[in-house]
Amino acid sequence: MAMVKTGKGKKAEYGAKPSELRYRRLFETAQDGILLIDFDTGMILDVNKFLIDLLGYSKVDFLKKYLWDVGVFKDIVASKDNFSILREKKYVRFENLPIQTKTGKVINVEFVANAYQVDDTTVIQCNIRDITHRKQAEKNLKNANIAVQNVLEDLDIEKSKVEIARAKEEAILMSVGDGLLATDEKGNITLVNKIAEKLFGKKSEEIMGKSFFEVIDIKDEKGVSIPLEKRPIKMALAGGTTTTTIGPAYYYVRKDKTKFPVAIKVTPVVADNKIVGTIEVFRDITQEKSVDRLKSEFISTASHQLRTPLTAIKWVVERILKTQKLSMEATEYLGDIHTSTQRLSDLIDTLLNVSRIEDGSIGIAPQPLDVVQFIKGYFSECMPLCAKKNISLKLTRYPETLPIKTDLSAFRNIVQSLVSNAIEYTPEKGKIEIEIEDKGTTFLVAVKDTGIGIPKGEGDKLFQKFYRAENAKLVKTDGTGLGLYIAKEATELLGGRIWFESPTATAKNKAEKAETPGSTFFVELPIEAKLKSGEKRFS
Amino acid sequence: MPEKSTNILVVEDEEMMRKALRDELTQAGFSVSEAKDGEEGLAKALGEHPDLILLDLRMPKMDGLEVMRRLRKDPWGKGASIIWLTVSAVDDKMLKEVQTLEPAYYLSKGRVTLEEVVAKVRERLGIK
Repeated sequence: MAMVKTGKGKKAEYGAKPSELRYRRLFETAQDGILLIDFDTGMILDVNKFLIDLLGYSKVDFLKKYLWDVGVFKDIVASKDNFSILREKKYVRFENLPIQTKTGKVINVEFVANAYQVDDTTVIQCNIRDITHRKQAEKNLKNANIAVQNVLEDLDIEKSKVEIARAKEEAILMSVGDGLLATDEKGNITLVNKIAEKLFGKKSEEIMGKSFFEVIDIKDEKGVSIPLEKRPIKMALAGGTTTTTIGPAYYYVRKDKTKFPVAIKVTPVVADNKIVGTIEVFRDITQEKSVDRLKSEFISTASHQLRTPLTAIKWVVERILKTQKLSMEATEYLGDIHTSTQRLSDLIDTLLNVSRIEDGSIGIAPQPLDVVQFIKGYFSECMPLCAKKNISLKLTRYPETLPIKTDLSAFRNIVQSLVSNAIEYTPEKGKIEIEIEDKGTTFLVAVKDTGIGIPKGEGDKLFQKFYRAENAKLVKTDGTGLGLYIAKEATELLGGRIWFESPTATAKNKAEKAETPGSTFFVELPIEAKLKSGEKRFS
Repeated sequence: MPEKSTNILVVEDEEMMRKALRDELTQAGFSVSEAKDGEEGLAKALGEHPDLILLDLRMPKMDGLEVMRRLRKDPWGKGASIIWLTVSAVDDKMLKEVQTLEPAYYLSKGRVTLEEVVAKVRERLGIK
């Protein structure tokens, strides 16, 4: 900003001295706003282009007006006061003065005014510099600072949150009611909870950071150490899937070399598609095992004791029927007793089977058997019921013989379940047709009836334990819902599969003049079932 | 019809069953003697040398397995014909032992009728 001696604006415009011209050029091209005001009157004498552009007024708006009349300064009183101060001190400076443009926009300016003498006149030159951008930059900087502050604060909060979460996690892990330990990807122990310490009989300091495989031994029932690749943590690390032990195969060895049976579940910890460690939860199942054993013993004893008198009743009834001359009525009553005892006996078998399936003690002992002979033989058991309901039960398509090797009791359970269901749920005068097909390595038995059928949507639920289809409940209120469950379990133990078809379309029924849709159950089994060791058999 | 001299020993602790078996077999033409527990059964078997023994598995004093073990050590008992009678399903351990002791048949009492027992007895003795 030039401090140039000059006269009034008009003189400057028209007086063409070189110094004045120079000033004029500076005045017009200055990158600050310049305003010349008459010291005595406060009247605007001149204004440069920059200021006009900045404020959006035209030159006419300024010339011969009082500064406070233009509308640049909002506060007229303050402006007049400032003018007085200026006159007195010959100088005034505002670092940050808000002024208004013609459109009403407020801009911040640095405002410096000096009074000086030119010839006889005192002139005030006001230099006005737009500091909006500077202010904005300052503001931005300040905001940036605040933002950085905020980020830092957030980071702190996040950090403490993470710390709290970690502490919580650790508290949860440590207080889990089962034994718990964590390892890294190599199987080194990174965390052990109190219960685990107690179960192992080792302090966490003794095993932390060490290889789990080295500090804790796992043995089988016979006391032989489980090979490394079969240890749950190793399997979880290798396979990347949750590994759960079933049955009594695993025992942990305590510090004092005693062992306890254990149920183990190991979950791999995966981050960025990489296994970074494992979490193992385990529990001492000594108690459960003894309860299981008691349960099995109880069921076994109870069933034996229930069955003994039942057999006695059956045989005595058989003797009476054979040796006594009875009235028709008495014969019928005895027949009823016989049927009821048979039902009770079957129920005991069913419960025993379910109990054995659940404890996984059933084995498979294949022995030679002719499927055709077997099913023909089974028909004789069904004849009384079929005769009563006037149902025709036939083998329709079958090879002459079909020698197989299978577990007799498992196979009998399957056939019994399918055929007795067919008889049960087929109305009087219905038909049951059985087909046997040799398929090379497997054979197929299809049991087709004209019974009530299976409602759509029942699907595989039919094979679930205790499940009974709605229409089945209507026909027979007291079914156990266990027959097909046992059949399915037996089928799977033999290495086969079981399924059914039940037409929903009624066109076929109309064509066959059947009132019920009927259903067909299929079971496909291997010609030679594989041996599977187990303490028990199907009843 | 078998001859009267065909002797069957019924070793069964349940009286009702023992009676029913005895009567059914007698009616079928066999001569029948009875024992109500394992001890008595073993003694009668070794003393009477019956043609066939119907042997219950679970019995007081001495169970069927033990009776069989001891019989198989006897010069006569080694070749004696035995049919097992069981109420519950036979488990693996028993089955293995029964196999080593050369079983004849085992019948699950819950499933068979008296007539079927007699049929098995005839089959075992080769009587048509």
